[in-house]
Amino acid sequence: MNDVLVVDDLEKSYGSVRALRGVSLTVAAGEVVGLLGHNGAGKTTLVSIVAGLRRPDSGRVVVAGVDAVREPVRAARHLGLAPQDLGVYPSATVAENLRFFGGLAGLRRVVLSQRVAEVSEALQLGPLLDRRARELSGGQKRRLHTAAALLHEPPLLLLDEPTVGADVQTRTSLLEVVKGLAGRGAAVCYSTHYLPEVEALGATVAILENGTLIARGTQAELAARHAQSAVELVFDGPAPPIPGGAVVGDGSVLRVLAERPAEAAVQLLAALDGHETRLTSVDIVRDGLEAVYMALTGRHYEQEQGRVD
Amino acid sequence: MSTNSVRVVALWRHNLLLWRRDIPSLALLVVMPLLMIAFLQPLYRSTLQAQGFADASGAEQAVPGMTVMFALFGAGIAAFRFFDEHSWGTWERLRAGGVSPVALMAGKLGPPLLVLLGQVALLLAVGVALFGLQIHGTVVGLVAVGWALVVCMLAYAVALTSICRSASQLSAATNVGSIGIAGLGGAVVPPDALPGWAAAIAPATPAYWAMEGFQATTLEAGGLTAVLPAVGMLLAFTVAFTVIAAARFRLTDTKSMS
Ligand SMILES: Nc1ncnc2c1ncn2[C@@H]1O[C@H](COP(=O)(O)OP(=O)(O)OP(=O)(O)O)[C@@H](O)[C@H]1O
Ligand SMILES: [Mg+2]
Repeated sequence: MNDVLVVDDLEKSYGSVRALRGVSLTVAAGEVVGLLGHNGAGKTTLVSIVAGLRRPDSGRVVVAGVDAVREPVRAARHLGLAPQDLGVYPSATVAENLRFFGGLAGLRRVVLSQRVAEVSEALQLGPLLDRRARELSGGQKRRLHTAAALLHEPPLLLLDEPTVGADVQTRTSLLEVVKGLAGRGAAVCYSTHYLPEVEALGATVAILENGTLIARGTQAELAARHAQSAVELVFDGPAPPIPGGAVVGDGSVLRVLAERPAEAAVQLLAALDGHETRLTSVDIVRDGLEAVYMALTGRHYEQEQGRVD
Repeated sequence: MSTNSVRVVALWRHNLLLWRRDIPSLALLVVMPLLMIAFLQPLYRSTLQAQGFADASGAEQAVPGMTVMFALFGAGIAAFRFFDEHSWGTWERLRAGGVSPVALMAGKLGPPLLVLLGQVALLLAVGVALFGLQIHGTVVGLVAVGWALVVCMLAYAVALTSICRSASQLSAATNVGSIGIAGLGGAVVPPDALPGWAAAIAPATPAYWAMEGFQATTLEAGGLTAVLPAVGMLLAFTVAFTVIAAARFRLTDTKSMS
């Protein structure tokens, strides 16, 4: 068995909020799993429990063969965590931050220096090594924050929204680094609000919705099972009722499922019957992850989340 | 080296660096008490001489007094080092770093132990060199009192951290606590000159016992047995603070910054 992470029937409530409702998930060595879900779905809660930061109410977590609920410290030695909230030392330089987190992970001397050099090169931190962390831009800080989790090449890597605030180049280099680590056998949990990243990683997908895992599989499997292409007409005001269409969102969006959405769009526009003056946009939803997400939840993924860039 | 000790060494190095980068705090711990000693010494000279210590320089009250008061402030700053981790978002990273809770505390408390020992040693040494502090009793006893005070202050720091939920609470507790405990303990005004009610509760503070111990070897020519009660009581306070800390400290607690 080469499952680096086994999560079994995990339950977690905060007071009356049930953040995780019986989540089970396994991640194999070399696998990147894109952890998707809207704000509050439970992604960070899941990651925090795996990292030993919170105790589940019930359920089992095994990291590299170690029970993470009973022996969180020993389990944590097999993982690297880049939490959703930034965590770097502002008064220390980039190099000092990296050397510390590497040392905390048990690296020392030559290996530590080597890994700091490699990781800072891969995430373009080289020119910033002598800069105090407080003097970095938001995206640069995020890179340092993420780099600090990978230094010891853990068998399990937990990256909670690592590309928030990152520019295109940073995002690209981070995806390369993640692919590289997975290529060398790491299991990676990668939560994000940005589906193209999951597609670029060729990651498998786990979708959380209100604390429940509603989908799990490869992108191809999920697309074959759930995705349907559609046309969406967005109106200024309420969408007019049209046979075969569904009014969604705040009531201003008309969605029509169609195998050939472009053709369907032409027909729909012709049938608007005066309402076209209120039409603000026409969107075609293709059969990628976005369509999977929409089919499963009835909502768009990214638009709804309002990415913070 | 075991993996835990590699991690503790990393924590020590890094936390020493963070203390070194915090110049204002270090200045508070050393420069402020020296200024206070300089201001207060003449006043204390006449007080002590009136009490019958004919050759007193005033440093016998000023130096240990300000050392005790600013060791209390040092404990407050050591407590802030925990709050810093929360405000920087690094506390969770430390907890997820595969370090046992004991190793984590050892890593966080090693550097303030050095800083406070350095502070106490420096203030006493400067007291001797510049302010005419005389050590009539045993130096070993003086050193023992200094150590006991510092260890007690570290336990006090963890107890403060465990009780305060926000940085503003900690800030208030540090200021009120440092001045209050030092004042009650006779570090600001000699115990004999304290108002009656304060003199009555003075022995309930660690500051009182630190002052007793320091003065037994400076003002008086006490030997080792003369400092034993003081060292014993400081260690008793250490145990009490440790009990509070053990009961209240939770690695999983979050601290707010306002
Ligand atoms: N410390 C906490 N105390 C109380 N409730 C919490 C706490 N942390 C999270 N929650 C609640 O648990 C649920 C899951 O939150 P979680 O942070 O796991 O979501 P998420 O999927 O990571 O969301 P996001 O995309 O916004 O980061 C939410 O309803 C949230 O309000
Ligand atoms: Mg989250």
